[in-house]
Amino acid sequence: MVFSSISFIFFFLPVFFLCYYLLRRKWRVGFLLFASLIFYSWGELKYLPLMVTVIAVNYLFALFTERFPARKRLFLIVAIAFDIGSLFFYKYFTPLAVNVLRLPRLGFFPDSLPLGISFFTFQAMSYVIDVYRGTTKAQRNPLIFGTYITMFPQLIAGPIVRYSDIETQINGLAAGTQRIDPKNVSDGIGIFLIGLSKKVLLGNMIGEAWQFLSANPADLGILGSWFGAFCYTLQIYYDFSGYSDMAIGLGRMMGFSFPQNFDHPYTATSVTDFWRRWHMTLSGFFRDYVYIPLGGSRRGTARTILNMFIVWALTGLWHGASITFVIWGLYYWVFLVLERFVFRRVLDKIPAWIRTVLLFPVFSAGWVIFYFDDFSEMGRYFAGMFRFAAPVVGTDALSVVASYWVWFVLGLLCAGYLPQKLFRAIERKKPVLASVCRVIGLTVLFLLCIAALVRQSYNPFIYFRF
Amino acid sequence: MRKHVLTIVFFLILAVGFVGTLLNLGTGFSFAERRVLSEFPKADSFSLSRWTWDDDIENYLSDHLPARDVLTGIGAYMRLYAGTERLDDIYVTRTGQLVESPVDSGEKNLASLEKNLKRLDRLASEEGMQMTVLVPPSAGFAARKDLRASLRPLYRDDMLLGEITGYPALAAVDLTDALCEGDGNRFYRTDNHWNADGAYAAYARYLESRGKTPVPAEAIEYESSPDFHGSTLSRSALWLTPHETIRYPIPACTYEVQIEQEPVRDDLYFREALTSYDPYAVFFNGNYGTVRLINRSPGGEGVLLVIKDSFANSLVPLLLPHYKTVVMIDPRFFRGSVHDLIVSEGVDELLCVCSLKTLVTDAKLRALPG
Repeated sequence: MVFSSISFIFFFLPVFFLCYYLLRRKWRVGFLLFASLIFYSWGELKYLPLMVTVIAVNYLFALFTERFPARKRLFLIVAIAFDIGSLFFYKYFTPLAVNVLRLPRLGFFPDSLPLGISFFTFQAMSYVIDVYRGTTKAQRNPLIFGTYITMFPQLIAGPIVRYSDIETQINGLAAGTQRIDPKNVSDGIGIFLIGLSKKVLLGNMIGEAWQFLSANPADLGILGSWFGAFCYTLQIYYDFSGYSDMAIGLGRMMGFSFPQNFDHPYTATSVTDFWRRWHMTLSGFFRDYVYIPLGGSRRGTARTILNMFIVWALTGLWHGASITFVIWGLYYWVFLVLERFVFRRVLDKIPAWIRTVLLFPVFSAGWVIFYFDDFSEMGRYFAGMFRFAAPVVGTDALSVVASYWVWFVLGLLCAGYLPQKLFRAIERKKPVLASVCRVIGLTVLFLLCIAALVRQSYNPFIYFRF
Repeated sequence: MRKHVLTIVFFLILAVGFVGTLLNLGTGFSFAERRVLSEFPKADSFSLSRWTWDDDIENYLSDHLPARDVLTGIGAYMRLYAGTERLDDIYVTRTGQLVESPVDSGEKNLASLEKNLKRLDRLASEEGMQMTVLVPPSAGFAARKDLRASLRPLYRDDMLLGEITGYPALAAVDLTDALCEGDGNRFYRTDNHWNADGAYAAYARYLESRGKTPVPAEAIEYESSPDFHGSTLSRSALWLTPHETIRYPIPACTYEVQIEQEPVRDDLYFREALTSYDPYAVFFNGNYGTVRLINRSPGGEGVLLVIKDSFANSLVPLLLPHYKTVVMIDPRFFRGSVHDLIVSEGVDELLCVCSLKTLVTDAKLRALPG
């Protein structure tokens, strides 16, 4: 079940919130765990035992780590080995064995990726590491820990919420001291609806253009190919950030404050800046649990470059068991190294807006690497992007541009700060009008999303495969 | 209170959707969309090895959402007003005509077209006869001057129709000029079929190709109904598109019609279909494996076998007065032997009438039993 579905919006959501708000406060944490397990099972019942095992192992080993300090390193290693082992087995083992080692596919090989495994194993690891470091206390109540790992808003596609981010809130929920704040509910609904609109109205519509264009890259022409790459650049942003917004909004409606995951990444003025704004919780995870423990930038230039290489190779690998993901990660490594150690002074002299404009094609080329699993298909697409031959826009591409340019322009405008600035300007001068506009605007967007969902045959969710 | 308005509106919409869907679960058919709505997922959806419960239940609930027609309409108009005149496989012209998207002229379809043409060619040559192929270009090709400039080149019907050459037993009659040029539209605005004028143009071209004289257009009598809405309207969900008039010719002869093994009728038309979800079924009540028409008036000569899809349904009433018997077979439903039929009926003329899409893509055509 995805958030942008009729079954979630009109069945899971009303039943869940009706029960959640009506239940006695103390029971809410148990109900949240129960609902989250139903949510997970709805999409993938066969992996429910895996989820329960991950919870049990991390819960126990975090407790052991805290209770037996002399052996806490051993317990940490076992827990991390289990988490990484699970991730490796379900995500990387089959492609490695079948595609690289050319082994026959045996019965025990996983045939699909458990939903959200990259997210919930990372959350579990961050918790055990934090307990090991002593920055977080181990949770003694398995119900609370289970709720933290399985909480349905962020279970499948993040943001990667660290235990310390919500420790107070989840303990308050379990103790029955957490009250539902109507303002939080209203704000949460607003964030959820904006996320839904980003996903359904912009991500899916712009994604349709990319679907048409990527299906037949040979005849797009150079402009058609770039338009396609730009469309995918916007699609993946609205798809993923929309989903994150929905998760954050749902959390807010329940009284949780999840960390922000995107901050207008395409307004970035450097690649470094981009990665401070894109999938911020994943970048934060790699920074705190990989880059800094490796020494970060404290051990000289060569070691810093090596550390960055490890982080970006892992970032690529986190997205999937394909060499193209690793190449995508290393593509950013190259840019980050050049930016930091070679062109820093030159880049600082270029006006910020020019850097933002110039970076958009850089990100787009990166997303083309990200999209294609197959090198020959990727090569064909890149050939179209860099081949100066007639026609500059193919016939099919022109028809797609003509059909989808409005969505594309809307997508570009909404990727910046313009809508927010506009709303805030109205809010400052006419707060009542702003409030009315907010309610009417969000209601209209909600109805348009439902209309689009009922009609749409194209409603993928890109980050599901991670 | 002002702070709670959004919360109230949001949960109200959720409640209406939830309760409305539950009340709506008994609905089995969408009149507007002309389709059977999804059924509750079957037991095999629950299989752990093939877990499709999620998708199946989503389709089921989406199909039974209250005011689904209104919502699909809003979705369609939203796309249209944002400049996306592609509504799934329907394109909207500047004049508001709803046409099917182009028939793909890629290699796969060219190979499929070749197979179908070879099959028809062999079928005719094995009987020692010539088959006339009467295939119209699509409504989108005919209306391409009204399409956005960037969409026009996507219609490569002329190239596909040009492939019907070099088959010794096939003779193609070119309908492009007759259907695409001159005043007036020869296709429905809300349907993929040719209208009465289009059917007449095809009829005239066919008879002329056979050395016969067609009845002048003004001499043909028609019945009509003003409330026709076709399949492209249903598929586009642009519900505000005005309905149009359908005209169906009254054959200038007395006749008998036998559809499959049903009792013989003395009327070609099923007027009750005009108020149904599929008004085009006024012709023969839709498509069947075999339909036999016998002309009881003097003047008709020979037996015509028509291998067809629904395009022939509005053409055959015009042809009937010129033949003693017309037998129509639809490859999608025909289960017998074409050779046996030709022998038993004494067929002396072969005609294939179908849309370009059928000729190019329909695998049933090449599987037609000899």
